[in-house]
Amino acid sequence: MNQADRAAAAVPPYTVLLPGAWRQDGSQHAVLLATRCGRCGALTFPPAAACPACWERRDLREEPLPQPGVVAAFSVVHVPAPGIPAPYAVAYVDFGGVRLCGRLESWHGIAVGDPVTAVPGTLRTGPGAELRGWLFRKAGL
Amino acid sequence: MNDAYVTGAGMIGFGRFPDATIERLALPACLDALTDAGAGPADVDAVYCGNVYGGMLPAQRIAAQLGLTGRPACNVEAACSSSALALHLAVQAIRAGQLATALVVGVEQLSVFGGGTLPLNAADPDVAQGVTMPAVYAMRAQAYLAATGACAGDLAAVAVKNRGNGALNPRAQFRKPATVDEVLASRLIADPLTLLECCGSGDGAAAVVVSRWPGPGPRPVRVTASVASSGTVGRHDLSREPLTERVAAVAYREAGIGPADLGAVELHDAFAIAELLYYEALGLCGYGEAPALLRSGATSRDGRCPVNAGGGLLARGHPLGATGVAQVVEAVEHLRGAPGVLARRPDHALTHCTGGGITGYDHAACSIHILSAAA
Repeated sequence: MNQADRAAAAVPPYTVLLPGAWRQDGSQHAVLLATRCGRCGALTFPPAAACPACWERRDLREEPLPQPGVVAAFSVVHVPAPGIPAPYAVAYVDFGGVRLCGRLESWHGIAVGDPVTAVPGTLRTGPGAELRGWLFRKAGL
Repeated sequence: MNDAYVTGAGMIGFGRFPDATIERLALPACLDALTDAGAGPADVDAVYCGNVYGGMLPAQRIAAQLGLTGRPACNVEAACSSSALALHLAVQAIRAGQLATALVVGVEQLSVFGGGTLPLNAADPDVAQGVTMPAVYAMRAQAYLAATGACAGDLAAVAVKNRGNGALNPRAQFRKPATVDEVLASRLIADPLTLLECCGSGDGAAAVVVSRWPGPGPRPVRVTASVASSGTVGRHDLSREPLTERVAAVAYREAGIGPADLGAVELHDAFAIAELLYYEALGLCGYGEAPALLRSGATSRDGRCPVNAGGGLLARGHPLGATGVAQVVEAVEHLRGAPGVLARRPDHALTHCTGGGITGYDHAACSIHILSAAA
């Protein structure tokens, strides 16, 4: 392997949204990971090195967010963030007491109150710009 | 505790000045404010600057142009609340007796980024996923419309009022009035918000002099409340604005007045929905009543409590760091009875800034000032 090949191999072809906050469970399911505080019971997403409610640093354990979540609100974006082709939809989704903001895989047939699950997906594309994470999909589809 | 007064106010016309610099934008606003206050270089004990995108040390850079070196210079960043928070810090220092007089300047130059939505922090997870500021407010709008039965026309009515006010304000960046039909027919930015329901991108600067003494004018303006807070993380009712409710409650208590005493309000209408949410959060009306309050004319220029009489963020423009102090400049002018703006000269005016879309928070920041005409 020459120097250029080594340099290319060292650069991952994509970045990952919040590494450590989720893992892929098959192609159709993303497990979202939170921190449960053993001292005060608070659930924190993304996983935290200290509980923001009581500052506990040791008695913390990883716990998946309960799925499906529930859509609290969503909007179809027509003037996009740089590097993302419009239109796309963003949503607030509640997983128990934790509210996440993220992208809907599709907004067709989606209504506030619908159950959605997280599925692995690509959030941004393009050379050097690909971002992999999760998208919200209507449960049961 | 000392009183604090706004003794001088200055502001440039907002617009797009891509060939300017932060310092060049700020200079005339500062000189106008200092002249208005009758202050000389030896009178200014400290310089506070609110700015977001201008790089390192804008307070020092501006102070150097004014000969205000060799004294405290404080740079404050809190997104759209930056210069409102800078004013809050100056007022605290004056009340505590640490300073007698301070120059507070807000300045921003967004034209260097071209157009489109704001360049947010790319490392923020929501931003990385494509969440824009219009999208955040669009979701609030969806929640408010669903919860209260308000309609798209109610959002458009905010833009019609504020763009109409901007058409009469020579310092406004957007001076074209719009009809409800034009607002609704303008292109969708984030459903349901249309282009004319979103603030534009531009440049501006505004400055005030704050002092423990009332200043030279015939109708001194006292700061009767100065309150700032960050938001909270968690699940919020998207059809309400709990951060503004909480900060407003403290501000009214501090000033010893209630919302019915206000004769002018400058609030953070970055998007049309925000004005409706903030009418309710500031107690100008009850929950779900904002569209009726707007329709009643009470918040028009000739109404009981004019809101955003200079066009607000929608029409005056929203150069982030400049906005908080620009609102205060307009409030001072209302209290002094500047000709041709309000039908009635108010005794109390409120300015309100929020700021910042950041993962988890309802808003990153909120600052409220109540200014009162001293007897």
